[in-house]
Amino acid sequence: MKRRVRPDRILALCVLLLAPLRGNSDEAWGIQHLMDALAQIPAAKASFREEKTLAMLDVPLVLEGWLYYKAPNYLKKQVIKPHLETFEVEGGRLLLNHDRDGPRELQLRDYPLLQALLEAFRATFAGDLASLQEHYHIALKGSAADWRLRLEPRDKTLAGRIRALTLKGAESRIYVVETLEVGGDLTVMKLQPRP
Amino acid sequence: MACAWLLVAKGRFTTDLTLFMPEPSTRVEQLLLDQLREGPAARLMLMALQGGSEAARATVSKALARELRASGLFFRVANGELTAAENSEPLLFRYRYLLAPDEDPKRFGAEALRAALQQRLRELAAPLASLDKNRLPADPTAAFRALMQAWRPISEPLRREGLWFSPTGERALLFAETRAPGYDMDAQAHTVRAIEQRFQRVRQTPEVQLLLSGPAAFAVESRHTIRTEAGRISLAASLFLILFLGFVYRSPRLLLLAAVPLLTGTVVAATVVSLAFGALHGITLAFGVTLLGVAVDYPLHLFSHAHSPEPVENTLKRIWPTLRLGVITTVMGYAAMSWTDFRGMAQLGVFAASGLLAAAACSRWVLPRLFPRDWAPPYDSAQSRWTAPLRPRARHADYLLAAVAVIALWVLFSNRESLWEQDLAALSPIPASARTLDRTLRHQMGAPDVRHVVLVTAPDAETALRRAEGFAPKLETLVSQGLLEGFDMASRYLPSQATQRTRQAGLPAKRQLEADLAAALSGLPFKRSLFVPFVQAVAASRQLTPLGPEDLQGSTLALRVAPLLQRRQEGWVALMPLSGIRDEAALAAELKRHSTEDVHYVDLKAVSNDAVNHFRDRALRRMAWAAALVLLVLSISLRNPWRVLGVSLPLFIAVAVDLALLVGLGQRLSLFHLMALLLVVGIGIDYGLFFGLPHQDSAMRRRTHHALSVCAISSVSVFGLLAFSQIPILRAIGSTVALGVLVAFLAAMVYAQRWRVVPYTSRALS
Repeated sequence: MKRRVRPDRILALCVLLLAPLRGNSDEAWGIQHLMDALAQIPAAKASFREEKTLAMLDVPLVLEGWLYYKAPNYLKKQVIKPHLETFEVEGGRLLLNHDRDGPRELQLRDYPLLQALLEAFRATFAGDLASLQEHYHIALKGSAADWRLRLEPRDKTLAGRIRALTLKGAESRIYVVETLEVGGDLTVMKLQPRP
Repeated sequence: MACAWLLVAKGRFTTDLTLFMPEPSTRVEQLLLDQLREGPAARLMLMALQGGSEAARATVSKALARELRASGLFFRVANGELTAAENSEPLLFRYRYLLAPDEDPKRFGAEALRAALQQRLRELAAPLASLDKNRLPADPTAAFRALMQAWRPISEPLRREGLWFSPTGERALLFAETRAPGYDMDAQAHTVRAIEQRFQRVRQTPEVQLLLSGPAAFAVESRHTIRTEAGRISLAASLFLILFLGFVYRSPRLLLLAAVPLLTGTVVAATVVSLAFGALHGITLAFGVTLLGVAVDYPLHLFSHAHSPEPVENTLKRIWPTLRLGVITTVMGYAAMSWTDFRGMAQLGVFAASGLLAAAACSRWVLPRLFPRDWAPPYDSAQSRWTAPLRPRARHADYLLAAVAVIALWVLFSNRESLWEQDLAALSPIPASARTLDRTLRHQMGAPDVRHVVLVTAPDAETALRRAEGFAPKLETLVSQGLLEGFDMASRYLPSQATQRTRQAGLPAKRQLEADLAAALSGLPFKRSLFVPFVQAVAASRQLTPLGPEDLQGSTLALRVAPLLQRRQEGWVALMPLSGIRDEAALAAELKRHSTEDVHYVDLKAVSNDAVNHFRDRALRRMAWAAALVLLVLSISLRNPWRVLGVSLPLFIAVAVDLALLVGLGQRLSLFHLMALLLVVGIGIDYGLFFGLPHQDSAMRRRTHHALSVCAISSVSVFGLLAFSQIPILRAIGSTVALGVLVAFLAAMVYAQRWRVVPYTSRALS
């Protein structure tokens, strides 16, 4: 008489056989994983709302607009409210466009501080750990589902202006970017990824 | 010997080039001279780094700038780096409303303030708020930033990595203003060496090279070039002379003795000049020794005429009268030069005249004593064979030469328009490639043209600034017409006090400003009391004492203003350098129309060319007088008009043919040719006198011929070597003298010999 294959046995066998393929989910999750996950994203688009709390102002400045990213080094910040303005970075070039002034092009290497600041964004989006470590001290907290990345500038001049940049996100999506300046001024940019 | 000691002990050598500029005859020339001497243009060193990677060039540029600043040899070193000082000057910040270029009276009104504040708000929203975020409370209209931007040079070089680069990026650019004044060659040479040393220290790879340019670098380079060339040629010439004279006279003792009169002459001349003028100029020494070349002939005459059993002393006594006459006439020619209001040439004239007298005296009284008592020449010049080919064979050599002379005159006459070298630059020993590099670097650096400048004179600084401000609109018109690209002036950085006061008066009263500010702030998120510092600053500005040039001491503004506003003996002068001249002639015409007593347009190159041409004309006139004087002396001494003709006609022919040959070879005549002609005449007189000696037996005639042949060959060879030099000045002198001496020799041989006796009678020649 034939022995009937018991489905639960097969299942157990499959599970046993396929166990190694499940990946190192038990290994500790770290900065490399985050960077790898971020590096997988070839392009992203998000709407943002930026709140700048400055010591000089009674009420915070609020900016709204769109943020675009394309691997490996294209970033675009399009401000819609309260005025129209575009900051576009491609490689080493920065294109500014204000509706009143018209377009202006700058070379980022003439503005090393600006370049370092923009690198925090670009390198994070691109998952470029090497560049990020070159410019910043990195501290990562949390897990893959809810992580917090704190960047402190290495360059002395920049460190004299910016205390820290903090990025918060889940998996490979960034939700918040906080910029804390020396002197207390704080910029909080909240991102809503859109497809 | 005593003189030599004196010289070494007390001799002061100077290398001040401006001694060789003619005394200024107009105020403009005086200003030009001052600029050349002490002006910042003369102190500018342009540096370029090329080769290697761009990053390497940038690193070396920063390191080199740092080293040069630390060396203390420069007033300033700029490579594009924004040194912190430039951006945060408390003095400039405090005076920003007086110095600011914006004179719109409504700029403090409510509307303008609101617009400015909104702009500031937008700037605050930018990713990295600009540097002057902390200046905002005191300066919401960004007046300081506008000031800094207005002061940026008219055309700034390309910036990469915050440093200056050439448009294609292949060269990093730097410039420095030396502390050493432009005319002090030694100090400049020291500075150039220091730059090169420090470059070696900071250069990281051998690929990165340093290019040095600018007037100071040129002067040092040309001095170096002249020295090495002159050294090399002297060596070759000395070698030739030693061999030739050794062959002729066969005695090493004679070789040494031949040098004695020349050396004595040089030493005495240098001493005399040092005592008379206080210092000996290097150029005087160099050219003076050239003019003393005549003195080399004196001992040669003695050697050739010496024959046993006649003691040397007697030989000398015999030829002395002729030599003496030659010396006197030559000295007169040289002395005529010293009678001039031009220090450098006066020095030269005194040097040459005193040196020649000393050399002649040495030949007469010292030289014979240096021979041993019973010395006999190891040769017999009367028997020498090698001079035979130098006798003219042609039957009618005299007619032939006369014809040649006429042709020469015709050549000169037909070229009379283009005879003279008008462009001083052609005389420069700097190769054309270096000059092109300088022009390129200067253009890329945006350095103002040192050539075209408007000079504004005034009794004091304030008037000078005001006059410059008054003239500026006219220049603006010319800029808009496209005649030039731009100009700079002191009042751009430091307005006249009158202008500052006008701006002060335009500042609003405190209450008015507070009211307008409150209106402007409504609806904007700025904190209420944020702009109290601004109100206070404006109020304070209304009370400030306007700035004058003395107040700028030590600030970076002083460095900008100093080259444009200078104190002179008779007052102040403001300079307005013009850049990017498109149409020189049209510009000159326009500016001439607008010139007043106090405002002159100067084309430095044209003025310096004119000055030298002026001098050349004066020199020519002086030479004419000298020639007349020489003829007079000859007539008195020789008493025989035919002999005088026999001496002077060859000179005339020599000069004419020499100049014609030079013109034919494509050379344009300059001051140096004139100076060389003096030497030709000096030598030629000797030839004429000796060839024209009456009462010679055939042996003596042959000895004379021998002597003069030796002189001619040595002179022509030595100066002929000079004629092959790279340096235009040396080439001019060499070719003039070599050709001139050759023709003088031939002409003297033909004419002086013919006319030493009255023709058509037969007087005994014994």
